[in-house]
Amino acid sequence: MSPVLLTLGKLATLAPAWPALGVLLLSLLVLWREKPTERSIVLISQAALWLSLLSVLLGVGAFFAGGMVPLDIRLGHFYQADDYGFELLFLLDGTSLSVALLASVLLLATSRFSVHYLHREPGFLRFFLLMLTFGGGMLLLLLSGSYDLLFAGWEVVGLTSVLLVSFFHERTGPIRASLRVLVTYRICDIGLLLGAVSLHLALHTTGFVDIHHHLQDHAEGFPATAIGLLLLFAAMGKSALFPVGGWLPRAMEGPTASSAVFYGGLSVHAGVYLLIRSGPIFAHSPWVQLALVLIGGISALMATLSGQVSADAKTSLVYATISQVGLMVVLCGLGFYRLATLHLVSHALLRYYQFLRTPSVLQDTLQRRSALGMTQPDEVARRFDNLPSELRRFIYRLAVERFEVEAALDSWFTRPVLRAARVLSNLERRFLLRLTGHGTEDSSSSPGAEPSLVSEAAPHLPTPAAQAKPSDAHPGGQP
Amino acid sequence: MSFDLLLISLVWTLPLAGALVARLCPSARSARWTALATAVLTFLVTFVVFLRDSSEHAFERTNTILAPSVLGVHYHVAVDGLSAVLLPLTAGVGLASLLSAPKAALTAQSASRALFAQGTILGVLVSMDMLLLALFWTLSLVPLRLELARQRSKLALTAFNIVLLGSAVPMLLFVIGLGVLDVLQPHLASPRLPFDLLALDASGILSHGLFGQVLAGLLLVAALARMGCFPLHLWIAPLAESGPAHLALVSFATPMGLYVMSRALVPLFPSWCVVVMPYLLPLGLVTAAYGAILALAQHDLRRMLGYFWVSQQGFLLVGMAGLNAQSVGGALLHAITSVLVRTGLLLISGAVVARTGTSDMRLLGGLVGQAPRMTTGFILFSAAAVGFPGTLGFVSEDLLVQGLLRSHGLVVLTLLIIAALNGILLYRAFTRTFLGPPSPHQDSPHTVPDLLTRERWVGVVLVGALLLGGFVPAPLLAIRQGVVRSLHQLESITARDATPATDPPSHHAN
Repeated sequence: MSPVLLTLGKLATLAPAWPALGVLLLSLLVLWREKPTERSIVLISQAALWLSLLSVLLGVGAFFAGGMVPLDIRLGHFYQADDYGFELLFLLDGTSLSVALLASVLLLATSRFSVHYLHREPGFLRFFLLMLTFGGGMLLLLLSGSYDLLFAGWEVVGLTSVLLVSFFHERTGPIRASLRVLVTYRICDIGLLLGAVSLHLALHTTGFVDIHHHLQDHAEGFPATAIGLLLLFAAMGKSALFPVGGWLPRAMEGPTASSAVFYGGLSVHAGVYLLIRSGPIFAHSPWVQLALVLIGGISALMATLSGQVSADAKTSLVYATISQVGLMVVLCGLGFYRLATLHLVSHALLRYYQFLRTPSVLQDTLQRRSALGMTQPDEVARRFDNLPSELRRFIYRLAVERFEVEAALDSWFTRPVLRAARVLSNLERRFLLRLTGHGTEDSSSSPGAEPSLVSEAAPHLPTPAAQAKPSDAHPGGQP
Repeated sequence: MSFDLLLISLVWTLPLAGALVARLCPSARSARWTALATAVLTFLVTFVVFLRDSSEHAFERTNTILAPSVLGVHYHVAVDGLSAVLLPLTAGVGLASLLSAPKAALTAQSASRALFAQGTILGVLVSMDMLLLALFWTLSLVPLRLELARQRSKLALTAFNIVLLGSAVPMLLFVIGLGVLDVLQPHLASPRLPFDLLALDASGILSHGLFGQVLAGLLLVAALARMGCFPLHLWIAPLAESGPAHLALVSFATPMGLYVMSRALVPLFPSWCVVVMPYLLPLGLVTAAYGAILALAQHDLRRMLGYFWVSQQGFLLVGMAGLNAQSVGGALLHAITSVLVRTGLLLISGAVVARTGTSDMRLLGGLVGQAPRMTTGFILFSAAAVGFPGTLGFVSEDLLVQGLLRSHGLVVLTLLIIAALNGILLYRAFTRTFLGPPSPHQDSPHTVPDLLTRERWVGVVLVGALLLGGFVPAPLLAIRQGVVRSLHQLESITARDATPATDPPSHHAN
């Protein structure tokens, strides 16, 4: 690799750093001034995103100038502890650059769109802070050359997604939805982290290039199935695949702009991107490939049916997104990674536009109808009517109830854990009360209540004034 | 008297002197200012010690001894990589707790007690003589005990007695045991320094025999109780819920249990540690899981944070019990993360209680509208607590996992599930306290002023430290040197013992 190309490549790796710098500047501005003006927020955000786009374009230039040979950029160790080191690896190839370019453009478009869309909205600053953080994380995820660095971006993308779902925090709906998103993300992220550390253990590296070379030479003994399944589990969470995809329809509680860029454009495709990157590992395990096809296929089928019975436009779009993402996963399972990349980019563009237009969907429909002079026949509905009535009712019920996947997960996992937590907590409190000689009364729990992760009732609570302890409370709000 | 000796001595004498002056102050206001000035000075002194240790001694041990010894006890203080970092951290926590404590709660008496607790904890961190260390260790619990007795909080007092019995008594018994050993075997220690850590380490008299094992057990129990590991964790939640927040923070934020393990237990009882530490792995896991699960059931924010703290102690124990350079290094870094995060979260929960009069999350909600900075602070500290990239927590969890994966894959899987659970419960607490509409069970809407300027800057400094450690973790990794050296000693013991493959494990302990 020539020094010029290497320098250009290194400049391209700055793409995630610019939004991070934007976040830092905005944070300093908040510390300095109580409320920065919308103009200054937009100026900093757009400058950061333009610089990101420029960096990615430099990478694209270097890639083409180098004869479309992937650029493996190694920036040394972030930290080291004896024989383990966290290496800063970036990989600029056709896959990473095409998706990173798409991400940069979509982020820039979103910021431009949001200037007017969120004008005078109380959360204007918060939205831009979160979007920049998300942008930094997404570009880090896309340009990373190792699972370690990809995981860092992955986590940033996850948390910002959750916080954007709860953007309209004065309502309970978005709050509950964000908690559901977080639970899914946190559980599924274990797969990526375990996969990455397993790669360290097996190959002493998590670099995509190193893994590829290593598996080309000696793949025997490599636990491809275990690691592949872990990575698939991680992708299932982020890309809302069966059976953990219930969070995506709920995620639409956020602002339209964030729904478009996160769940139409970028975030939901992060899982597919991970699968595309993991192709060399999947190639050594037919079981994982089979799992990819099955999970992708089931997700696509279920999402298509659920989408058909959705009553609102955004939810319908969400299920359409899941069904397409499912098809991309099937493509990965069949080994068509380039096709999956192409599908990803084109689908992200289309869906991003559709999500942005959702608030105007009625106007669009009416305009289309008047232009055509007729109502378009629903082909799927017509075919569905041809099925036997028993089967039709069965499928309809399943689709309406979203195949009861979430209810099953709640009753098998969430409720038992919460119930165990309550029982243990009560036991411990009673034990302590016995020690103090206060008997076994427990005023803080409500054993009869059904445990739930997202809602907590307070049926028999004392008033705040009665609860406050003289030593703690400072009425009047003055600490 | 050397400059190092003067400096290291100032570290603990300054807050103790400040405590005395604050107690004698005529008004609460003057006591508060005295306490704050002392805390600032102490922080500066500890920071100078840290800088000297890093620049002149490259985080190697700086020994200073004031001879001669009296009855085998001499004034021996030292600073190495681990304590060099913990000193400014402890002093910083003390300063932060004084700055953020509600003025009404910071009387002359409580300010004096906070300084006393800080001074004795700093004393533990610099002591190289076990008698001195045990004395500081026990005395550091006294201020909180007195404060709880004054408040007549029976549940918190009972809980506190658990840690007092569990950690102070075994520590004192350990020191008595050292004295007895010196009387029984006077020929083994030369010169007569029965309590000196370096002398004990060099003599190796504790590494063999049943008596040595009993002493090691006592030290371990003391450390585990101070950490709050299952089943000795019972004191944490009640204390977090109803104890005086600023004093509890000063008394328990510093990871004293882990410190004593790495400073005394592993170097003095290497063979014993090789045998016993693997059994502590499941104990650490149970602690981590138990804390996380119980935290899910809590409605009280401070109590929930107490159980979260228990869970974090499990992580530290697992890392320490992993007994390899990465996992122990990860545990030590995680301890530092925990101190910063805990200080931040308690600061904010204390601010919530001071403004609303309750920490019951069922009576809260919707605080973000009035207190956006408080809300931002809570989510930032929560993110750092669960290892968000760019924070010190990410580095510490990564090292912990990497270190444990080689030999304990299942432990890693469980730890990651618990880490996920911790993230969920912190976010859940965040949504219940700060987001959504205000609780319908409130009598009247809360008036919640946002963080005051002093509280805000404490938060900014804590977040800054977490971010700085997250982006530039390499200097902090140097603190592991002393512990890693002890671990290499363990590795050689393991290798030596592993040679006769037929030896039963119990053989090593004897």
